[in-house]
Amino acid sequence: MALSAAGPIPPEVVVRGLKDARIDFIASLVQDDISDILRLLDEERGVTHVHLSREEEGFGICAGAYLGGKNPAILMHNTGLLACCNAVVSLNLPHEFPVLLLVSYSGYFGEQNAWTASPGKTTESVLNALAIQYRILREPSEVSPVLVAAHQLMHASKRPVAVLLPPGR
Amino acid sequence: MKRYDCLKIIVQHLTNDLIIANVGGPRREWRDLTSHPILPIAALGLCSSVGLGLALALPHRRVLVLDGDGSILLNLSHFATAGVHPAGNLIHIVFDNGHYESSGAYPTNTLSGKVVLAQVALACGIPRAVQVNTIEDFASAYEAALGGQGPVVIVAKVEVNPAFPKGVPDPQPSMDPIEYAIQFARHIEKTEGIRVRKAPRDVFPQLRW
Repeated sequence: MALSAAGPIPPEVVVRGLKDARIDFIASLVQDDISDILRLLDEERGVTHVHLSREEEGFGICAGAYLGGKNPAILMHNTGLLACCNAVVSLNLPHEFPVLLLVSYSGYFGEQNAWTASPGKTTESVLNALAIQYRILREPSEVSPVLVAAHQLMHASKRPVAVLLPPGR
Repeated sequence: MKRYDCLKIIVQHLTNDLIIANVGGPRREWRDLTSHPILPIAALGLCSSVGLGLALALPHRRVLVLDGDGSILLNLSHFATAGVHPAGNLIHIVFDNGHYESSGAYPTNTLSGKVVLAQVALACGIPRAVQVNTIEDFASAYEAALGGQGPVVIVAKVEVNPAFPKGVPDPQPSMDPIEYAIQFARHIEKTEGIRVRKAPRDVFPQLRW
C-alpha cells in the first residue's frame, strides 16, 4: 500500500480508479508496493491481466492490446520503467502507441529501504528525458480523477503517460 | 530453405490474418509478395509481445508473428509469458538464419547449434513448437498450425539474406513506422468494426468539446 500525505492509498482505491478510468487490459510485474493491487486485479471481471516475465514485454503486449481496441496499462516498479527506455523510444513513440504507466516510486520521500532507494534519484529525470508526462499520487481522493485524466491524455497525445505511487506499506 | 519461399506459403493461405513482423528482411520480402497489411515493429525483440497482446485482445482473429532469431533472443522471456497466457489464435514463426541479418549479418547465438529455440518454447509451456529445416516440412507444419489450436511456434531454419542482400533499397513507396501503424490500425478498425486510434471522447463519451 502506497503512503501519501493523507495516509495510505488502499489497493481497492487504485483498482476503483483504474475501473473509473476505463482501463480494461493490464500487464504487470509485481513489486511489494503494488502486490495487493495485482491480487485484486486477478479477481476483477472485465479486465485482462497478463503477468509479465520482464517489464519490457509489457510495452509490446499493451501495444498489441491497443491495436485490438483495448485501453491498456502497465503496472510495475520504477526499476522496471528504467529498464524499458528503449521500448518507449523504439516502440511507443515511433508507432504512436499510447499506454498508461502506473509505477511504484521507490526512493521517493517516505522510502524506508536502503536497498531500493537508488532509483528514486533518477526516475523523474528519465521520465522527463523520455518526454513522458507524469503525476505523483498524493492522497486517495485524487486517485480516480488523476487516472481518468491520465487516460484521456494518453489517447489525446498517443504517447505513454505515467502515474507514480509513492513508497510505503 | 529460403525465408522468401516460406512467406510465399503463408501468403497462399492468407485469409483475414493479422500479421506482425520483425523489422528488416521479413517486411521487405512481404511487401514484395503481397499488399496484405503488415505491421513491422521498429523495436527489435518486441514483435512477439505485440502479437501476443493483439491475439489476447482479439481472440477470434488469427494473428501471425514473423520473427527472427536475433529478435526473439532479445525477448526469450516472451515464451514464459505466452506459455502461461496461451492465445489459441497465435502462430509465431521464427525465421532462424543464425545472423543479425539487418545488422551486418554478424552471427547470433543460434548459429552455434547449442541454442534450440523450439525447445525453449516447449520448456516454457508453449504446447506446440517445432523446428523445420526444409520447405516441405515448413509447409506441413504451417498447414497443421492453421488447422489446430494455438499457440504454435514454428522455428524455420533458413539461409541468411538470399533475396534482399545488403544495399537493396526498401520497397516503394517507403513507409515510416507511424504510417505502418496507422494503416494497420485502420485495417483493424475496418475489419473488426471497432475504434483503435481513439480520441478521449471515444472512451469517455460524457466529455464535452
